[in-house]
Amino acid sequence: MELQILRRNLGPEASLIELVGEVDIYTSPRLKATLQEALETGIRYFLVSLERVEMLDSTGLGALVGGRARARERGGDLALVCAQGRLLRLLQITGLRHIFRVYPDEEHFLAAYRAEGVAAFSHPVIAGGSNDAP
Amino acid sequence: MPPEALVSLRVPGLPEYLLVVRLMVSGVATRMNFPAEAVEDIKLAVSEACTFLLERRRPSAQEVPPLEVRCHLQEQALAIEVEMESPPSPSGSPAAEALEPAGLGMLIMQCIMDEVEILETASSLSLRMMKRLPPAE
Repeated sequence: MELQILRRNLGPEASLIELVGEVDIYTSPRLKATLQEALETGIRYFLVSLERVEMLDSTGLGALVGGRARARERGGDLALVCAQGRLLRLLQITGLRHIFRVYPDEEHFLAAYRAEGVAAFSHPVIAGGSNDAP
Repeated sequence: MPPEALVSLRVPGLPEYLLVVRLMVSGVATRMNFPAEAVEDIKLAVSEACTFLLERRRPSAQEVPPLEVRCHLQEQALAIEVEMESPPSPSGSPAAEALEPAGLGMLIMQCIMDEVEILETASSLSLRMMKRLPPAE
């Protein structure tokens, strides 16, 4: 299965990006482009949902790491929704589990967002982006 | 199953063919009764191996080199070779870039497969990897 990318705004500076299908060397440039396009329209906080991802390889992880870096350059950040054991193991293997804040579902993110504001996009033990409202 | 069966696939060395490669190795691993989680690991590792080779393709190469995937179905393991022809460098020495650290992809392959090695000759670059079947209960 190829990759579908669904994007929905969570606020003027925040977007939910849902990935459906396989993220590999063929499809990851589209993920990279989607993140870049959103950044150019002023989005700097991302929640990327991996719940419907069937396969994610190093190029997909690279696109997420790159998107996070560019978001942080603008004072934002990028968090993930992921409860799939296989993908969580991949994040653990690559050390990225300690870089991304990972939520088991969107509801947990929204609860954190209500409590913490934009700090909910950042890993709690890593200094986040700016404290400006999205 | 014979002591060692071979299933091979040759596709153009282009990213859009990785889906085809994953379908092939998935079928082979399922045929060998690997658990579902191991089948996913094998698909990911082969995808990473193909990506490793595609990223090291010489930009100067005019023609798309074929990517060849060979699955050796052994009694207790699946051995996979992924190979891409690589034209000799001008000096005739093996491609130096192949020896550079491979980053996340290599780390993933090493963590999810039992063995991984890179082989380089003057005319090709390949990865060999192995996944052993879990002991029968």
